[in-house]
Amino acid sequence: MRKEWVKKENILMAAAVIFAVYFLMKIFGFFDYTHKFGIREIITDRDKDSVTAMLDNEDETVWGDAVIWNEPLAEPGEKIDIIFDGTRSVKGITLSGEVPEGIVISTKTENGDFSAVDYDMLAENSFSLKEDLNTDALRIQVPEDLKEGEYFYVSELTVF
Amino acid sequence: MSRNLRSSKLFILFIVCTAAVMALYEILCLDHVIGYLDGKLYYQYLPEWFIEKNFSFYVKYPFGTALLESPFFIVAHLLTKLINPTNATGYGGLYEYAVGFAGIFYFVFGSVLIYKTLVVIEDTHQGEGKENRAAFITIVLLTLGTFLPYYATRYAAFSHIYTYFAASLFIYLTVKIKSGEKPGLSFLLGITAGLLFLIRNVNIVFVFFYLLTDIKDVKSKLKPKRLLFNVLGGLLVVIPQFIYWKRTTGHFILNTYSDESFSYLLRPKFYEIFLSDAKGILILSPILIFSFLGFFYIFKKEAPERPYAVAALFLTVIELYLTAAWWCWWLGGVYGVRAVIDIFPIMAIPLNAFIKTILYKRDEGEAPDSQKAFKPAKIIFIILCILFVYANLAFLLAAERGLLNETFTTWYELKRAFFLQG
Repeated sequence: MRKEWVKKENILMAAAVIFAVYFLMKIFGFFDYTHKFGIREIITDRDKDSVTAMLDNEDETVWGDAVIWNEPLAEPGEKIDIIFDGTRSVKGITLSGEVPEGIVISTKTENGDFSAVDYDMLAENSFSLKEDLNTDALRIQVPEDLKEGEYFYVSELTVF
Repeated sequence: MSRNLRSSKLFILFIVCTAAVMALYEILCLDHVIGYLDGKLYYQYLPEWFIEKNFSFYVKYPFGTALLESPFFIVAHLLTKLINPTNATGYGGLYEYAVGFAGIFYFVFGSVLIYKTLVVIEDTHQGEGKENRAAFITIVLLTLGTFLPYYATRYAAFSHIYTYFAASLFIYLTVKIKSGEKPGLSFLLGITAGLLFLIRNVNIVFVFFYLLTDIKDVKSKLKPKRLLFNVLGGLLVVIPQFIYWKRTTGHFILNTYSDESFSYLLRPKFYEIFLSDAKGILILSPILIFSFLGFFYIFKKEAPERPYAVAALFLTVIELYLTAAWWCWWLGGVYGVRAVIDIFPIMAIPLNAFIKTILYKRDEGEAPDSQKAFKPAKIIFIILCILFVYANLAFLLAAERGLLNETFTTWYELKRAFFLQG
């Protein structure tokens, strides 16, 4: 009987069971280390397809498409909210796409409102916050006093 | 009724019912099939040639997919011209159904060929059919446990369901040739290899399945007469593509991906394509774990699949490596690592071996009560199959309802999908 229990079939099924446990743990978020910033959700004012990817600040990890299907004109005050699954230390954000001048970056305050933060431009559409933030949500917002004919399209974003 | 005849009837019933459900889904739920991402580009040859009479049209994809879609396109075009000639533009209306039904047709045809392949492998080895029930279960698990149906319907305009069919045919012919069938099959094999190349140039690697089958017998495959038939068949199909490239670009042979590359050759994205929640083959279609585990069986000396083991392993590894090494390893804004569908006909072999061993193995000379050792494994296998099929169908339902970001799925989307939330 002991010899029968070490048959290959039983060993391979044990491996399958271990995999099944891993699979269930995976979809419950236990192995979420590829998403360094734990971005839980991105909420946008327009069709969510306009933000199709999230990048962690590692060249090795690249997700999503950079194909731009259309470049919508910006609406004043239009926003993208990035919700983390906990408090994160954030230094800045880089956007791919078309971003109007004067974009407003805000952080969520304790009372749930968003408060604007100062930033420097590292490069086109790359914004370094003047002070590191500990926050569980960021907002990128088109300014209310938008220049006419400006576009706002974000296909990818990086938090770093 | 013999067990194998019962299996065949069940298989036919399953395939017919699945095709019917797919057709209903396309009629009732899909608003378009053609116009999404690459799908339109594969298809575009047809309206350009048949309607616009534009034979200078060029797109980076070869015209194999369009070739296989063409019979359905022609029927749709003729009907549209009869019913409402102003709509005969090549897009919308019946043309969408044409491509959709083409996907179902090639899913059915491909699945039948895989079933027949698995039966021939079993029959050849045993001298008489021994266990064909596993072949039926293999097809059921590939259909219900993976995203294959999604690519036979919603993404029918992509190349993968056509590669699924052509690869199934290629493997079936290889198995038939191996089992000593007519030499005329060598010509047909060549044609199928050419067709695979026409659908997607990288599919030429499938030739290695034939070359590596029964690897000690390479010499017979390289005999001049057989090789000549292979090559003639292949050239018959690919020469028109070369001529078309010459006409449209000035070059007979073309690297249509010259601005793209295998950026991760030395750092392939194996974790991402196997286990990431974004795209992981084993996360979105966990049933495939049994296919990978099945490789432990097909190398056994007495395994009927033994002649095909090296070929199957090589093709699986090379296809997944090429995907993991590609710059766009996620293969765009569509569900799952779609390139894996191309090797489902190959992965069916170890999957079938695994199912056969767990469910139906009977060691020679063992007393009946020794089967108790297998009972726990059998029960666990059935439970895991139910879990994995459920997970796959739940994920597909969520994808269909737009609740999964198909470019980049996340674990919390999969968790919500698993519990049918959202």
